[in-house]
Amino acid sequence: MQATLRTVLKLQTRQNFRRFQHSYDYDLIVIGGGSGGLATAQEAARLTEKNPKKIAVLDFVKPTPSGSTWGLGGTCVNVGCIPKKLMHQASIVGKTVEDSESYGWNIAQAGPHDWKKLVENVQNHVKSLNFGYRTALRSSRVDYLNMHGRFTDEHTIEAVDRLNNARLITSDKFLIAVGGRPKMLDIPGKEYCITSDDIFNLRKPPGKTLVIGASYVALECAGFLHGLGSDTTVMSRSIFLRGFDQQMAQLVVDHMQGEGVRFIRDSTPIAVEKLEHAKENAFRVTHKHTNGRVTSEDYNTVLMAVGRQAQTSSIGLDSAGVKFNIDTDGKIPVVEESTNVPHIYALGDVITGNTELTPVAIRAGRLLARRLFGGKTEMMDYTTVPTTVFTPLEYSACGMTEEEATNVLGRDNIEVYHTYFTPLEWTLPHRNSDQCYMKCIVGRDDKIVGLHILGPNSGEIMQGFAVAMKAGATMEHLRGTVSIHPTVAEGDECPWWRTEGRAEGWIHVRRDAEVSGRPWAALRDRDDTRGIAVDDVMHRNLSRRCMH
Amino acid sequence: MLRHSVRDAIKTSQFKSCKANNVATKTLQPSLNLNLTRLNARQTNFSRRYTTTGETAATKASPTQQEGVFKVDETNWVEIVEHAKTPILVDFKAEWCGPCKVLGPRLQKLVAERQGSIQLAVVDIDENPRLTDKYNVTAVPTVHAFHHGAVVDSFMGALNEDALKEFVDKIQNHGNKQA
Repeated sequence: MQATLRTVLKLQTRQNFRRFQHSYDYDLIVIGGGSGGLATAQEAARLTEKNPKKIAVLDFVKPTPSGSTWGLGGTCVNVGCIPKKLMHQASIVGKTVEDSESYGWNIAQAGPHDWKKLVENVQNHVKSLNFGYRTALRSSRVDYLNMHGRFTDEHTIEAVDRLNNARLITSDKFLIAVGGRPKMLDIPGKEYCITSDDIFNLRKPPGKTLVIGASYVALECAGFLHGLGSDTTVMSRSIFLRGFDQQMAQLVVDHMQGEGVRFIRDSTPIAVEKLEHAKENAFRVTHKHTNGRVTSEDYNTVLMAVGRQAQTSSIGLDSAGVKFNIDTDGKIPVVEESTNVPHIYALGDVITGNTELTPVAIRAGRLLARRLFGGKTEMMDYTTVPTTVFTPLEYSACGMTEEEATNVLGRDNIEVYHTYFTPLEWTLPHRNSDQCYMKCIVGRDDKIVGLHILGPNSGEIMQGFAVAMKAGATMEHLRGTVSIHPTVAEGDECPWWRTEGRAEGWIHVRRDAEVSGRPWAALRDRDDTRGIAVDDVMHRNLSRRCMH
Repeated sequence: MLRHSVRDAIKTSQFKSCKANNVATKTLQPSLNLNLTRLNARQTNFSRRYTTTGETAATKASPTQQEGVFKVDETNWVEIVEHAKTPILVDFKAEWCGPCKVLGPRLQKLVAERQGSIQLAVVDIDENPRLTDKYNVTAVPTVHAFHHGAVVDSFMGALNEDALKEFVDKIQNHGNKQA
């Protein structure tokens, strides 16, 4: 009798246990096979190797109006960071070829750049990455579905493939990592324009190009297009690199202008017309200046880089009950990557209050997977995130801009150490280094709150300093570290270096109350090291070492 | 169906007797072999097997076909690979893969020299994800040697000429032993 009771109780407990386990098709469905989605799926699979969870990744690329499409990997791999950096490098290689003569190389007159070969090689690499990701998902036993997912209720998704075959799949948890796509201005003739989704796979050389926009996408594309030999113009409505330090943004643009990129400022395009009977693609763009003047000009390619839109309008968020900014940027507000629905998460470019960067999405994804399946509690830290704009002269930033530091900490509570510099490698070819510049914003406790570097390879330089800042580095730490010479990176800490009679190094600057508007312009006039005798500068540095 | 009757005809013909007499497969009439598959192809959507988009009947006699290299996909896998009478090397490759372009001609040359005792097929991994997954292809180029429908040996990467010749010889010997 007792034995039977015990057995019955055991059975009941087992049944109860099973009831708490869900009966959905999957434990986790990730919508979006980009940087964030893939990192989460793979980390979740890795953590649950011993007790495998069922994980699926849905990735689907809606072709662009021009017909461009791509494979697994998301924006970064296919139409973002990877091809962008390769093309940026291509233009740098071109510059190196130009410089080579002063270094004694006799490179026979180089022919024009072969755009098709570059695109073919870039696309081959991108496709190999697509395959790598597919293989990685397969090895991790994650189901990859090349289908578009749309919520039909809070635990169900309708997945539709390219041939419109649909099926319903359910999951215990979901992650929305659908990212964004380029916006287009709603003007007549927008169908003749391309975006960053198309530029990296363009079959023919772009020719004379107009880039509309003032974002980092616009400036990076204009930068490498110019570097590869296209007659390039940038049309902007107001300021450049909104959200970035504006002094640095102006220097970036000044450098591009010095290199030969044309800028049409304070203008917006009104219409784009296709010119028939033209030998190659030709479009007439009519634009209006803020002063009212209307002008037209012809281009072979018109590239719009006016911002990105989160891809939340067609994934059925209403059916799942997930709140998102339907009227504005389409992004999803989250708290620690959780949406308002407890089992639905979101990260990457699709969420609000986020820096739209691949490493941010990857780290947030991995930490989320560890919290969901690994029993960990670490949250993503979205502060002190380094970033680089890969314009012809690379601009890297970590921490606060000078504007932010002024607003948040107060002008009297910060010190800005800055310097112009000339990379040694640029001396022989006599390259213009007027915009090579870096500045370090320090708080009252000597802690570095912002670091900005504009110069060659600044992306590589910044990574180490970002670690230092994360660890709470102070100006004293920088000064106390012996520098590596001769490098661009050394400018960051040692104030007493001189090279070729020009003083290099930090000039300790105090921003006075009366310096307003553009303090940096006033300071340039006062403190520009060029042409000043070295001893003067050193003396000035010594006398200014004490904080007022 | 024509297909079956052709097969039956072959069974009772010289073909089988060659096999029954254990003559080295080298003496098998390669043209007969190819004709057989061409006939079969006609029954099973010839154009899909041998042509890619844009090719017409006029271009069906593509270089790959003439050299006896079969372009295999999910529709003709069973016929060409599993029902192959000789060992068949299946080269999993991709358009974007540099080493694949180096390995391809090397393989073709070695297989052509063996005059039908060993065959060669190619599979594009981007066009055939299911086949790629099924045979666990994680890098390209990957070559699986099939005999009687099963993988008997494999290698990854573009092997140099000597290593490749060694591999092909080994497979050919395997085929001879089994025959």
